[in-house]
Amino acid sequence: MGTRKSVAALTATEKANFVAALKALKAQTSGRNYDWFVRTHMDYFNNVNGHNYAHMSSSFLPWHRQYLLELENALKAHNSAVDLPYWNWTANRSTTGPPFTSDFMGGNGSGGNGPVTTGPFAGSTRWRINVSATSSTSLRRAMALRGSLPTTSDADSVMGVSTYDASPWGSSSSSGMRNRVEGGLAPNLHNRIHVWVGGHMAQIDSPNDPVFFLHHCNVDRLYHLWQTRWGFGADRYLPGGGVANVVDVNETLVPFGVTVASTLDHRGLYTYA
Amino acid sequence: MNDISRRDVFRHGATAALLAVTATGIAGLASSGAAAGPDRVATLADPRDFEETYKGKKIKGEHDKANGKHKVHINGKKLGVVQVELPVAPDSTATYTAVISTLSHFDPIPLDEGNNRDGLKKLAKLAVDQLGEQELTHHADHSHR
Ligand SMILES: [Cu+2]
Repeated sequence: MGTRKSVAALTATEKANFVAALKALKAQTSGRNYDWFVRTHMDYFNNVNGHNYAHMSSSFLPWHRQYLLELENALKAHNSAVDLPYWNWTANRSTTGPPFTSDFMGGNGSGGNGPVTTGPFAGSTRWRINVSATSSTSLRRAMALRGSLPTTSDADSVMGVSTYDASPWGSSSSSGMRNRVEGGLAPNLHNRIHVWVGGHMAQIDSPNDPVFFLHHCNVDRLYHLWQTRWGFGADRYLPGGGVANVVDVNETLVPFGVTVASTLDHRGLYTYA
Repeated sequence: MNDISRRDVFRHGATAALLAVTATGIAGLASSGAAAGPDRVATLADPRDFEETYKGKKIKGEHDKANGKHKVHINGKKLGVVQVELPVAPDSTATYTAVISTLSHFDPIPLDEGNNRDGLKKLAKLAVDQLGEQELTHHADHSHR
């Protein structure tokens, strides 16, 4: 069973292993390689089969939990010692600190809105962007131009909301925990980090930036903290059933082929340190 | 009647393509039994639509709020745009309309709320700012609906 650690607590070896596994997955020519994950995120951003599986819906948290788990397993196929780390943006708030160091994710884009120039993902020969809404083949960032990072009290306030989600189970849900985490509702813990990092992270193809997975790992960790407080049971997820076009607790998360219910208690698969 | 409405259409910077849309619109209104007078026809060309150059890139926007299918092109390439509804405040059932694009997917820009009538143009300009020296690819229109 894996333990997911903070990016700030990783050893030099753990950082190097994670970077190497990402590059091996990127270079993989069969099965679900890194670009498969980019493409899948693009495909599932919107309505598929009449359902919003991944975003602006109740299943935002379980869908991304399973998506991260599949990415983590794909990395483990290259190095079984690798676990996904998380970027706790309420604590690590600098554009030059973890995870944006030259031995890990690298720094900002050149000129504040251009290609990343430092670290293992700088330049298209080190990390080539193949599937994107924009033409650059190099990873780009535009940090802190727009958006902002949530504070500890922002996160704490959301963890205190006991109801998982509320009708109409979408971007306009005006109560519940899920939309406060996702970002349709203040304080918005998830959307504004995509905006704050900028460049590819702001786009539909945001997983092109590997920091996507560290960000979403933190979102999953917050969901884990919420579940630790309010319960891991299927009764804690909403909607419980009978809502057309929304993924109910016993419906299948496409394209992963697992139900929401089966993703809820992750403690047999991984924990957070 | 048609001359007046056509002048209206042209005043809003219409093209031949838009005229074709207008013609379809009239047919649609007629077949649904709605009045197809000058006012109704004039509304088919939205005064908020735009076509201009911003930071060296041609931006073009066509509104379709009724169906939520706005169109934005940058240098002739289509930018996928989605209209979303967001709560005005916690525990309020009132919502406001905003737009996101494939380039600003997590950054809704309000549309049509009094001061925000230029929301679609703001979205287009933001996309140009983000693009820098880049262009859109065909994935910028990725399966949006
Ligand atoms: Cu995200």
